[in-house]
Amino acid sequence: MAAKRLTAPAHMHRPAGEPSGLTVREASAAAFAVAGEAIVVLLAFSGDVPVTVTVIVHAAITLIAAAILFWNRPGSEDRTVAAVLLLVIVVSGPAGAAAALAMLPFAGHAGAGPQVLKAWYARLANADGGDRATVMHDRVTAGRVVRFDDRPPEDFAGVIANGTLAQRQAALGLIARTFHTDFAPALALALRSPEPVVRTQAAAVVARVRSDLKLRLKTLLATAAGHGAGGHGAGSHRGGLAAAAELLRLADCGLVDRADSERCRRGADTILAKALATERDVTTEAARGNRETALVIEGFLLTAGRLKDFRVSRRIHDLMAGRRYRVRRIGSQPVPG
Amino acid sequence: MTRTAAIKTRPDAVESDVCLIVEGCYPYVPGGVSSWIDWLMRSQPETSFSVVALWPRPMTVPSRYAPPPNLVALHHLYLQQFGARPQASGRGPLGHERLGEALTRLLTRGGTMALSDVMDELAHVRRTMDLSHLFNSPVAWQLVQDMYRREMPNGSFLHYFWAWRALLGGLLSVLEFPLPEAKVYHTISTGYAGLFAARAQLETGRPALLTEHGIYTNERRIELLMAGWVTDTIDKGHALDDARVDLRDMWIRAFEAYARTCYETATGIVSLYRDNQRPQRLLGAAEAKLKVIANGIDLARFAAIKPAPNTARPTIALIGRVVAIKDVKTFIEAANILKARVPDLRAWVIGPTDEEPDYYKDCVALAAGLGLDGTVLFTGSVNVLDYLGGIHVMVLTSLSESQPLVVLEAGAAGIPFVATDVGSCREIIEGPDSESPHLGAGGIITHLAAADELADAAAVLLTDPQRRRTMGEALRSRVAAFYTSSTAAASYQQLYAGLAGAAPKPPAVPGEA
Repeated sequence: MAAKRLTAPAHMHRPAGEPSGLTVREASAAAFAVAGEAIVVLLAFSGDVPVTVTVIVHAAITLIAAAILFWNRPGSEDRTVAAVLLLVIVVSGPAGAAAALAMLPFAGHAGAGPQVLKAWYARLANADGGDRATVMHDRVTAGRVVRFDDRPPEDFAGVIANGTLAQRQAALGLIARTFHTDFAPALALALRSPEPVVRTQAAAVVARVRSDLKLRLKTLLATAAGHGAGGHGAGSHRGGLAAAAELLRLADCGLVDRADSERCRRGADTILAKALATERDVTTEAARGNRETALVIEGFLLTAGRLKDFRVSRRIHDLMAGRRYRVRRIGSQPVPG
Repeated sequence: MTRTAAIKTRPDAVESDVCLIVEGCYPYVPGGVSSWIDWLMRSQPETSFSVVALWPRPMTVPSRYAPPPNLVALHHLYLQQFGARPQASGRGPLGHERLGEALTRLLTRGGTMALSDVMDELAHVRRTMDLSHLFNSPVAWQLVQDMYRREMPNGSFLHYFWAWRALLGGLLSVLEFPLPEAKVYHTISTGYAGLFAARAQLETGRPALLTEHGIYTNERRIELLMAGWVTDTIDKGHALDDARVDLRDMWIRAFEAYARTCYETATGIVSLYRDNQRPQRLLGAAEAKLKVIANGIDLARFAAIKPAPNTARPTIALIGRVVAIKDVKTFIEAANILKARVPDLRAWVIGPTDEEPDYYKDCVALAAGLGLDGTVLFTGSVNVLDYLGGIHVMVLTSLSESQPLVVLEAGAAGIPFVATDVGSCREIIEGPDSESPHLGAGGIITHLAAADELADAAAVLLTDPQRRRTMGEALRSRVAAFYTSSTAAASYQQLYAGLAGAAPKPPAVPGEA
């Protein structure tokens, strides 16, 4: 299960950005220990005090340092440096206290730095995505890939007309998130649904789609303007034709206002007129494009009276689609059968 | 409505007659439900109110309403601030599996029993640990893993974790908030506010009343189904019946479960119009609890307005904010079609234009592009009363409404209405099936986003003065009979009196079940 991966390495438990070593507590404890242990040294070297007393004083200093370090300390604070500091004071006496005071400025840099934590958080968020094979393996084993036995509906309009309420609502959600102009009739049908819940949701989808289309329209019209000005090279030729096809679909989808619909048509005309005026083989472009683009270009060829180009486009497209052609004649001789 | 400083909170106030529970509106967001709450309190001067206002976190804007004299306390419940810093030590509660099961049941199916079980389990937990610490404890980590396995085993755990934090944080906030004492708990939506009312009913045995303006679960479902910010962690393609639970399903299911809990626990369920009862029934609201109390208006304000003379310039008007949801563009396109039949047409768009400036610019450009410069006029914010006397036909093109007051105001002024089939428009304009005697149609209903239908309907009313007058009078009669402020206020007075007088049910004390 994915949850197992979320156990952070032990050294990473401290929250990011929280100082771990050089706090007032640690500094105070170390300073106190140095002063206290100095007295212990003096007592030990004076020769007038029994060793037992010296040890007791050392123990008392250690206890007070422990109190400074841990008394009323919030549970969420990291205790690593404090614990190390106390251990050094206990074991090494005066030398340990001095060494602890000296090492304190560096203690804050120990442990995991922000960069290490950043990497850990990135891993938590799966920001790098991992390698494709691992990702795919994880998705398959977790059961997150498409199930081919759950077939999509034949058409959304059918679902809106005959589906259950849940299906209609799910279909409208999908239409909103993955809108294509082919979904417009289903949306129009939903707006007329006798079920108020469906009508309300369809209205919300229409509002969202109209807003999305407005932005898309801006991009497409900028493309059309670029083509009109002749600023696009051969590389974007096919992209321009696809934009023309999309503009014409938008013009007729019923979800843009009349003024925008006119702008769509003018934009598409600009691109197609430019394409026909160039020496490039429009028919090949039509054939190579997807079916929708091909239809738009072929319509335009018919309107322009370029019937030969139209026929060639049809044939190339059919051949590329794998359809067989029957040879009707060789030269002037008809082929039997 | 008045701008005012923050309403003083008096959490120590004595028991109120009615505790209103509201989410995301009063007293900081003006208009809509907030105005209704202000009206409700002022319309019941003999009833004392307290308000529990639910917000994600503390508001930084001032209150927009002056407190009425009968508002005794305003409490703030913040949904996204639950949980104390983790404790390094401390005994955790035993048996978190039962709590996990109860929470899963409440979040996936809901119902009074599910809520009661969760309250019982939490009462057990409180004996060993403060709930705010529980939320950030190793026990919570165990809980989230258990619930993930039960609820969303195919989805991404990481996404589930954060959704769980948000859902549980809100739920625990609601269940931990000190309950103000009241005779009746009245929530204005389902969701967290509805859960709070259900909890109050279970803990005190006092009646819980629900008034739904819109249908909260539908609104959340629409938001969630369309939301780009909700990650789809399971690839379902375009399949509609895939049973695997993903984040969207989890959220929708939780809101439906909360609604089911509220419907089941509530003593009464009030809607503004009949169509809204259908989704309530679908989520288990019992028929006997359902009631309609429509919003009303003050008829006296419109008494002096005379119908526009037949000889005046033919005028249609849309009153509302110039925003996309009002579909003003369809109004403009209808005006364009209508102008061919009524050349002297005037089409007013009466309402503020500053809320969606880009949309307003688009509308102006569309009107100009269609050559409607002298026909379509945007008035901006004005006093509507100054314009009603010059309007022959009112139009509403909205894509979504609940119970639009503008239809009632037009009716009070005797102006017939052409409106889209949204909210309660059909019920107000055509009259409910149960109306006896039937008062006649007060206008014409059209489909949504159908400019040609709208133009046809407006043309009928503009060119036939007799029909226009008949429909205007029918709408006036219906508004006077069913949609006045005094009628609505009397209905609530009666409802409160009945509920407050009812013997309280024995409270279901958590932990003693």
